[in-house]
Amino acid sequence: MLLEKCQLRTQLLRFGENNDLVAPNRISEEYAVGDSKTARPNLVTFREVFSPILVEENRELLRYFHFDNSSGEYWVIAHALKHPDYICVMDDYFGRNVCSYFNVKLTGTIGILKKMKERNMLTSDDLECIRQVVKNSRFYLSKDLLRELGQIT
Amino acid sequence: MSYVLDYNLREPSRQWSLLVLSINDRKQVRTMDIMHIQKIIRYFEYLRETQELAYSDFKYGTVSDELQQNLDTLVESGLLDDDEGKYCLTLEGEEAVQEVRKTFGNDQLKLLEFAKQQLNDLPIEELMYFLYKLIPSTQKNSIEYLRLEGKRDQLVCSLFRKGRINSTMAAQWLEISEKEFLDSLSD
Repeated sequence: MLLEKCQLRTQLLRFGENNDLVAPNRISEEYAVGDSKTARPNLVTFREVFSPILVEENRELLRYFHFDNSSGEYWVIAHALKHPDYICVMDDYFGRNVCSYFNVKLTGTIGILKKMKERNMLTSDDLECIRQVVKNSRFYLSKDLLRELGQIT
Repeated sequence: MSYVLDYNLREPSRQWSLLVLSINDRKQVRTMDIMHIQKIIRYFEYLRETQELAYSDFKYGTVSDELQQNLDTLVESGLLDDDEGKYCLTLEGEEAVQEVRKTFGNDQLKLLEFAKQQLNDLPIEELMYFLYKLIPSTQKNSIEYLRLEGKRDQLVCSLFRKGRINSTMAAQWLEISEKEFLDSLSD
């Protein structure tokens, strides 16, 4: 949502110079579906920023997802369990619960934006655009995100 | 003295009852009522994909008489205390758990901890609805399922917001697409 609406491609590519940004294929599929206000997400840009990766099934983890591997969070955590240096970026409550349960390193959208701001990769205009997009979105975490966005200066 | 041998604590329902009462939930609470013990042990068995206890689908969903009988035995033996329907370990029970833990696999303990942390702080209606939907066969004979179905939007939304189910499962339970479900949360 933010990647395209706030045109964060360049900023994220810069962030990616020092951070390996990857996304399991399932995440790309979810991204391609889009949200109610983004009719045709640009998968090319998404894949340019987040390298697509193939992740192996993790049978033990699957139990915690009630034997359903269709959620993106399952694949993200499966990758992080195999590669503990990676940090999961996740806002979904259930996924975050499972992450904390497996002691997987975890951050959320705000965590990434904070890091980018600290490294001067986001301007005040970028942050204002992010605030506006979140404010006008139907994203269920909008209120929480807006509150936390207010703390980024 | 061996608690495991003296009290037959290799018997699954005794072993699991003691263990589950030794685990803190999200609110750092260890005591449990009978409904939560029954449902959490059933959830644990679902997660481990092996069912060792016998269950009947009763008025309030899935219930194990075997588990109830063994809880009563543990109370009579002095390993558990039943304080007006709230079960907890006695000092002797705490000692017994230390012994039981040595023979219990770490992976299994992790699953049991997960089951308790996901369900023990849920109100009864959310707890019951979670099990009814997760294991649909338990809806049979229920006198509560249809009533709870009438509140399903509220129950599913609450379970989702508490992180007990993900959006995929929430959408399935509401029989709508995931996109519709996520959009509905901001209404």
